[in-house]
Amino acid sequence: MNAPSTFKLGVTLYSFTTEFWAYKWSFEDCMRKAAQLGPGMGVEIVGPQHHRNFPEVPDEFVRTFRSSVEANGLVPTSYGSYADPFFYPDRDFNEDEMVEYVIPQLKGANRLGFSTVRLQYFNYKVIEKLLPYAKKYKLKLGYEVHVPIMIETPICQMLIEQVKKISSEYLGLTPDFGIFENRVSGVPQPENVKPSPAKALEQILPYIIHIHGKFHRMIKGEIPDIPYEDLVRILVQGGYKGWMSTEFEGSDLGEYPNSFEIVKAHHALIKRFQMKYAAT
Amino acid sequence: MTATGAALAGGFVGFGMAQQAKKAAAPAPTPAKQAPTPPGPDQGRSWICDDGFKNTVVNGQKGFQIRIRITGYRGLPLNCFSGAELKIDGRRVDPNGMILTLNRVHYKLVDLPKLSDNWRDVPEWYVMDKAELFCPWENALSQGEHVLEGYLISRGPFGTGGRGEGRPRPSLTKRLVLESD
Repeated sequence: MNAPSTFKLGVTLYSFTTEFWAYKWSFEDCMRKAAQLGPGMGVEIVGPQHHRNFPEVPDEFVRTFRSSVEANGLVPTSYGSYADPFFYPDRDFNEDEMVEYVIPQLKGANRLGFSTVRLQYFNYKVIEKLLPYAKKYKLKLGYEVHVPIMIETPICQMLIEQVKKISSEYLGLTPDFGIFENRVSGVPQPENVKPSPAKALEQILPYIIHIHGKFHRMIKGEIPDIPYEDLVRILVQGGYKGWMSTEFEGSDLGEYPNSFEIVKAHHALIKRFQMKYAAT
Repeated sequence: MTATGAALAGGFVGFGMAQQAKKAAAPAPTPAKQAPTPPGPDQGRSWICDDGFKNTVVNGQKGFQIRIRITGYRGLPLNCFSGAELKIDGRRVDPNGMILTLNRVHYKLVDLPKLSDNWRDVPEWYVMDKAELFCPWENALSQGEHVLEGYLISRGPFGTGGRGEGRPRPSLTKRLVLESD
């Protein structure tokens, strides 16, 4: 159960990649695992991971997904779209192609019942052409703020300025908390990447429409690499009421026998901080 | 999960130079030079499957086939694959003769990057689908165990850090027993 009046917890099925890739858990198994995290659990999917024919969303998958959402009492939160600007080996997508590539994803997200869509930042160049479709399909589009696009980087600052300038209820940001990750626990750190401090979250807080609760490693119920307590405090005290999808990305470390258990432990950690700061 | 720097992003690694960002009006992000090296080949995921290794003949050409998979987390346009470096029992297989069969359609592996200049016509290799890779070989392989070593060459269409350079995954070594028909 979430603390009252705070943000809601969900999971991206990406967290279950190890088992899904290995055919241990089917898509339906992953949906059931999500539901086992708690009633009314938010569920997020990654387009080209969880359905075929990307960037189209097949009718069959729409039926499968909606049926599973209903049966498991889940809430679709965010659809992971892709700009795939480097689709061709010898040139980048032009602006018309960027728009045409994303439109079927937005239409599909709507048919699947999602309320938000994660956008890759590349789409900033064509956002004015995408926003009418966001309105048509009743979707909030959130630029993903992801390593190496830390909050202090010129690209992220440009995105913030654009979101402020356009000032649309259909446009915002989806921070991936990997941007706050200082890999002190020994998880390999990409070179030339300096994590954003937790306080930087305050700058983008008004524009957040969804959050990826990223982490790689948990030690005795704590995440030493990411200042989650500070981040949750800022979210709670700042009044964020949207969703946070737990995004476990450390299965390659080989430390956890089961992705579900580590996601569950992440929820427990976040709820602990939610309760602590909701009460203050 | 969109950045190639994430260990699980798979299929291709490395923050390449931010070519896309360079062309844009906005200033480029600070690119990381290189993603962390995964602890093992493809995070423990093998592009060569345990089954489907056998002698075969394609269009009169003798050879063998292996069954292969994408090791990343998501499906990719088929034009993201451009070859394979493969040795069998220490001898290199000529990539120019390799034929990829995906969903019953045959493709010359090295020609995949030239599939189409219209994204709608480029098939997807869905992440959960297996494909067959035919490798021309002058003689039928002997029964028993053989050592396969190598990697599939791919690139990423989406890395947050920019256009991938197609850097190969860590090489995989696998011992497989030839299946009989």
